[in-house]
Amino acid sequence: MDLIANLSLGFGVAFTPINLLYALIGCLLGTLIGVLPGIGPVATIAMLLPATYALPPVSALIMLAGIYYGAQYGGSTTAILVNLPGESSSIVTCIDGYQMARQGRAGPALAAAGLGSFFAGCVGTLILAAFAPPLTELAFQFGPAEYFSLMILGLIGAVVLASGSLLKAIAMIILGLLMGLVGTDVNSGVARYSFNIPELTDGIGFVAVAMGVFGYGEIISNLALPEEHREVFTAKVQGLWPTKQDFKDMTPAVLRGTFLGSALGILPGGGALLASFAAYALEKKIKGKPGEVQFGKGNIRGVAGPESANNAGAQTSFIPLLTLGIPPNAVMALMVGAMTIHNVQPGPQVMSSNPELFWGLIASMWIGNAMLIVLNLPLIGIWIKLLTVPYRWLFPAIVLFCAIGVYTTNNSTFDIWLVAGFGFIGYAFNKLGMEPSPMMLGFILGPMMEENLRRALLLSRGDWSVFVTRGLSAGLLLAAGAMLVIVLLPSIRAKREEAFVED
Amino acid sequence: MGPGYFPLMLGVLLALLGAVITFKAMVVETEDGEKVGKWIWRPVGYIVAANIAFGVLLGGLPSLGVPAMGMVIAIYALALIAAKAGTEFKLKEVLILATILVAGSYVTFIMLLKLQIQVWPAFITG
Repeated sequence: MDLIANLSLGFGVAFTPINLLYALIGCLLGTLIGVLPGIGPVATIAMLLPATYALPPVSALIMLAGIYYGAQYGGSTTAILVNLPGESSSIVTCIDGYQMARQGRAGPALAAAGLGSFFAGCVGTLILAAFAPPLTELAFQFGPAEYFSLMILGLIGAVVLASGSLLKAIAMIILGLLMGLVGTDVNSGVARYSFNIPELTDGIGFVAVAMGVFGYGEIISNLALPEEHREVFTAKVQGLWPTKQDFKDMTPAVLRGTFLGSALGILPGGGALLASFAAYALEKKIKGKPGEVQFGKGNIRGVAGPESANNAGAQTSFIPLLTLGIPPNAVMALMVGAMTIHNVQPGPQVMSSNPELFWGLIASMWIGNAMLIVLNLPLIGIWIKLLTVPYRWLFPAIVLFCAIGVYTTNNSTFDIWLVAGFGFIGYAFNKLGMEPSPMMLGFILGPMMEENLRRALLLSRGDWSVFVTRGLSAGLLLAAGAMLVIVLLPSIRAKREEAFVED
Repeated sequence: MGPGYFPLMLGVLLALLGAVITFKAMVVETEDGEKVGKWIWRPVGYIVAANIAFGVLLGGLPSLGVPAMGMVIAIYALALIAAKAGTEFKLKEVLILATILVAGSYVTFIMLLKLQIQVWPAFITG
C-alpha cells in the first residue's frame, strides 16, 4: 500500500525528537495565543512566524501547523469559558458551550470539544494523506491557463462562501492582488508602485501586511470596544469527563461534523469558519431525542458538532495548498508565504521533490492533534489562569512581538513603518466593514496569477480564447461563474445571510 | 503585455467596483445601513505611535542623524506608549511589564534565537 509506505515515511520524519519538540512548542505557543480573546489564527501565525526563520524547512512547517491547530483549540476554550470567541471559527461554540459552562458543565463541554476535534483531526489527516497523491497527479496536467482559471475559481469561492458584502469582498481581493504586484516586475525589471522607495522595489513583505492588518488591527478594534463585563468560569471546571449520556449524544454529532467539515475544508474559501457554521446549522436541524436540552441552552451536540467540523476543515484545507499550491483561505495564504521564506515553492512538485517535507508535515498533523488533547484536557487549569490576565498587560506584549518579529524578517526598520501603516489601514477596514481575509488571499495570489496569465497569453500569442478552449480551464471558469450567479440569486442570497446569523 | 498590463486591468475593475459600492452606500437605502461608527483615535494613535517609536529607537534614523538606542530602551518606550492606548494606565504596572518584556525578549531573541539585534545604545557599546 502506497498510503502506508508514505505515512510511515512521514512518521519517520515527524517522530525525530527535534521535530516532536517543535511540534510541541508550536502547539503550546498556538494554544497560548489562541486562548487570548480577540487574536485569531492568522494574527497568531503572523506573529510567531519569525520564530521559525532559523529552523530547517520541515521543522518550521511542522511548528507552524502546530501553531495553527493550537490556536484553534485555544479559541474553543475561550469560547466555552468566557463566551468570547478566540477566533471566528469558534463563534458558534460560544452559544451552547458557554451555556454549559454556566450550568457547571464546562468540563464536559471542553472534553466534547477536545475529543471531537481530536477525532476529526485524525480523519482529516487520513483524508489528506489519501487524496493528496491523486490530486497531485491531476495538478501536473495543469498548464498556465488552467492555473489562472483555478485561481479565479479559488478567489471567487473564497468570497462566495465568506460572510459579509460580496462586492466589498471582491474589491478587497483586487486590492490584495494589486498590493501583491508592488515591486520589480520579473519580466521587464520595471519597478511598479515603488514611488522611488528602494525598499518597495522588493515588494511588500507579507509578514508586515498580516501583522499590521490582523495583529494590530485586531488589537486596536478590541481596545476601541467598551470594556465588557466578563465572567470567567474558572472555579467551576470540575468533573472533566462527560457522562455516558453525553457520549451517546455527542458521538453522532462528532461524526456528522467531521464529515461536513472535511468536505467543506477542501472547497476554496472553506476551511474552519464555514465548516463550524454549517455544522451548527445541521445539528440544529436534526431532531434530538425527547428530553434533550434545547439548542442555545447548553446542548452538547452544539459544541461537539461545530468543533469537530472546524478541526476537520482546518485539516483538509491543507489539501489544495499542498497539492495545487493554491491557498484556500487566509491562514493557508500565510503558510504559502512561510514556505516561500524557507525556499519551498508550494505546488504539486513538493510531493515528489520533497517527500520528507510533505509526508512529515502530514504525519505531524496527527501528532499535533494528539499532543493538543494532552495539552488541553489535563492542563486546562493553566489556560484558565491565562484568561484571568488582564488585557492591558497582554496587548503591549503583542505589539512588541509584532514589532520585533517584523524587524527580524529583513533586519530593516522599513518593515516596522509598514506594520504601523497597515495597522492603521486594518482599523479603517474594520470600521468600513471590509473583510481583510480576501485581501490577504489576493495578496499572496497576485504575483502567481499575473505570471500564469502572462504565460498563458504568451503561449497562445495573445489570444484570450485560450482560457475557454482548453477543457479543464473552461470548466473551472464555468464553475466560478456559476458560483457567482447562484450567490446573486435573491433566494440564495437570503439563505446565505441567514447561514451566518448566529442564532 | 508590458509590466502595466495586469495592474491596469485590476485597477479598472477596482475603480468600477469602488464606484458601485460608493453609489450603493450613498443612494440605496437599506434597513441595516448604519453609519460608520465613531472613529476612536486613542488606541489607533498610541499603538501606531508605539510601533514607530520602537522602530526609531531600535534602528535609529540615519537620514535625520538619530542614533540607534538599542532594544532595551526601545521596548520600554513601546510598552509605555502602547499601554496608553488602554483605558487604564498605571505607571508602576507598566514599568514592571516592560521589565519582564525586556528580560523575555533578551532571553528569546538574543540568547536562544541569536538574532542580530542591537541591545544597548550605540554610544555605550561603542
